Amino acid sequence: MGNGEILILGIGTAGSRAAYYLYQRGELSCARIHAVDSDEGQLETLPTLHTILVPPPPSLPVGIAAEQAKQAFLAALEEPLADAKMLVVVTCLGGNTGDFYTQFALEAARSKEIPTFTFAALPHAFDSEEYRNCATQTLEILKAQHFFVITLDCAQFGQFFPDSSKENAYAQAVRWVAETTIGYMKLFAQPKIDTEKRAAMHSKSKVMNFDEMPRGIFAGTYPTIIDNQNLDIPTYLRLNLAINEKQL
Amino acid sequence: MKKNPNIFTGIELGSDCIRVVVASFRTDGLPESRPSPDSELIVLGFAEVPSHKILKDEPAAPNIVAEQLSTALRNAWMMTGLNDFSGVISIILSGAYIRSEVVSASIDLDERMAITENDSETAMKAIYDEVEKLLSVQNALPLPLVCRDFRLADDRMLFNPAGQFSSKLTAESICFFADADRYGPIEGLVKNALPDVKLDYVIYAPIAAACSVLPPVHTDEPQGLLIDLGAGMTSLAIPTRMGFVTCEQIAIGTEHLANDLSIALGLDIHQARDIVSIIGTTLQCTVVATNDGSARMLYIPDSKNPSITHNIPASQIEKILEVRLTELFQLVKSSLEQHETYDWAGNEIILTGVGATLPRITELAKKIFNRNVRIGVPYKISGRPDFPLSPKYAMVPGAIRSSCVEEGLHEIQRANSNIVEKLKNIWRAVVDC
Repeated sequence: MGNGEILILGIGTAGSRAAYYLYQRGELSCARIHAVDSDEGQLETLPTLHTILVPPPPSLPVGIAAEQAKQAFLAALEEPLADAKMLVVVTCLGGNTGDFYTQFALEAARSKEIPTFTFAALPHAFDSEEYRNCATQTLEILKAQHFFVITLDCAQFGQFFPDSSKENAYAQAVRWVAETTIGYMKLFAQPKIDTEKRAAMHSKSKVMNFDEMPRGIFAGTYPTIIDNQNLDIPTYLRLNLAINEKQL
Repeated sequence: MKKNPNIFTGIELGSDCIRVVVASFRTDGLPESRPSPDSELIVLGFAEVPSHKILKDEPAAPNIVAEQLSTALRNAWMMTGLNDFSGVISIILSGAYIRSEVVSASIDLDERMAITENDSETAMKAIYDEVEKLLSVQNALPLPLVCRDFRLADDRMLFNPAGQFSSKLTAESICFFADADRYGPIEGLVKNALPDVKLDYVIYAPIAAACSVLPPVHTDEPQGLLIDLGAGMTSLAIPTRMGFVTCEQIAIGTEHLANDLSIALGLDIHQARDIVSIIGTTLQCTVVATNDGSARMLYIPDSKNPSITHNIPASQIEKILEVRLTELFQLVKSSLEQHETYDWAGNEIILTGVGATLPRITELAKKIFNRNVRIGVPYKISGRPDFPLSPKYAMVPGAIRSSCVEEGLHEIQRANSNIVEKLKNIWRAVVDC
């Protein structure tokens, strides 16, 4: 896959945290990562990540309020989905936002013939009955529509950590989902290099060419190269992050 | 002329400023010739001048830097009011031209006998042979090495192996090699600035930063992670009682922040530097971005044409700085993880250097490392009341303390060699008779 052709959506509070963890790990450098949540405060805790604030999910999954929330989400998704060739949804089922919006994201991708993967954590053993029922119901809906969902059962996972606190368990589940996503997606998220560039790279003994990006005052000095990246180039340029006011 | 053993001059060639500190140690009840490196440091004089032409802590125009260094030395020495400056002079070396490498050497032991301090010393001495082998195949200058840890035959890692039983003892040290070609201009400019004075010690920047902020301890546990966010380089150190678990640098500093702003906003680099230096005070911005679009606008006049004003949202500046610093902290973390030393970082991270003065920097570091983060300042400093006790000035007092340690070691070596010489003379006299 080429740069930015994989779109990763972390939906819900836990899904957003997983998306942020994915972003921090930097393993899927070719993917664009967005966090989707209805909690503005939570999104503010995810610095430098693309975020989509959605309306709080209505109490009933159908009706005018539900339709309005869906349309608002689809409108926000229009731009990120435009250049995507694969959609990956990372979420934790059972929560309101994750359950409500995951389905719409997958449907939007399918309507554009974009293949999808979903990595979904299921509730912990200590979560409420209602929470677990919601997760089961959502999962059934997704499977009924033949969406490819990889589930991670936190109730089973938690048995291996009997001494872990509730707070730690949530953080562990988030990391588990993120690491599983990396494991699956790493193969697809390798940087795409065209044949000419590859040949040029080999002829230069694997020295990358960063000339097209500015180094400012560091032009002419020994470059700071770590993991094949020239760190003299501004971070926002290398990571292709939005910094102008419209995108903030 | 005999040098004064308790007048120390420390020099830092930073990318933003050249800093010089002249100081002496309080020697209550001790002989003046044997100052203790952890006693109170009395600042007699100090100076700070812009370095102008240093990038990533390497001089881009050595002549200009030499002039600036002369000015700084003159100002600092004049401030002391002393006529004689023949003390101990040390300089901090920092830059990507210094490479660190872990070198190990083993000795065989009788496992029925407990390991002694002498065994540790023998293992450490064996490392020098290894270093010589390395130097014979590369064009590099060695800097003083530091002890890292010891390993026993069963691969247990210890900072002090005394009292343990093992058939083999492996000493691991961190050795530093300066690229001879890139060190040449620095040596030349120091000679130009100090034509009649001999430079006594070179101190690697992470060692200087750690010695300045963390007082010596008597436990074998590491003292935590220190990150010095300098203008040109970022130094990392995890000191222990015996040496360092980690001691390295990353060639990114606060100059990269200014450079990023300059490129992103189309500003002159001097203006971008000014923004970084006044970000928390005049501009009321932080390095943790608040995504409020253009709600907070900054009006910055163009450096070439003051009638033109750049209207820049504060959130834009904050975001540029945040992504760079987040990346830097992640690099620090991954570097420590790669060297398997992150577990020794402890519960607290200490930030020093000019970058430590950025508003909400501790908050950003805390997010990445998930540990308490605090700002470090030099310990036990007295003397001049106008000397800034700031993380910016953390490096030079550390270089002075470190050179005091080196001076003590040299004193012992000199004394030992004198005893050997005396014994040789007595033997010759006996033989002659």
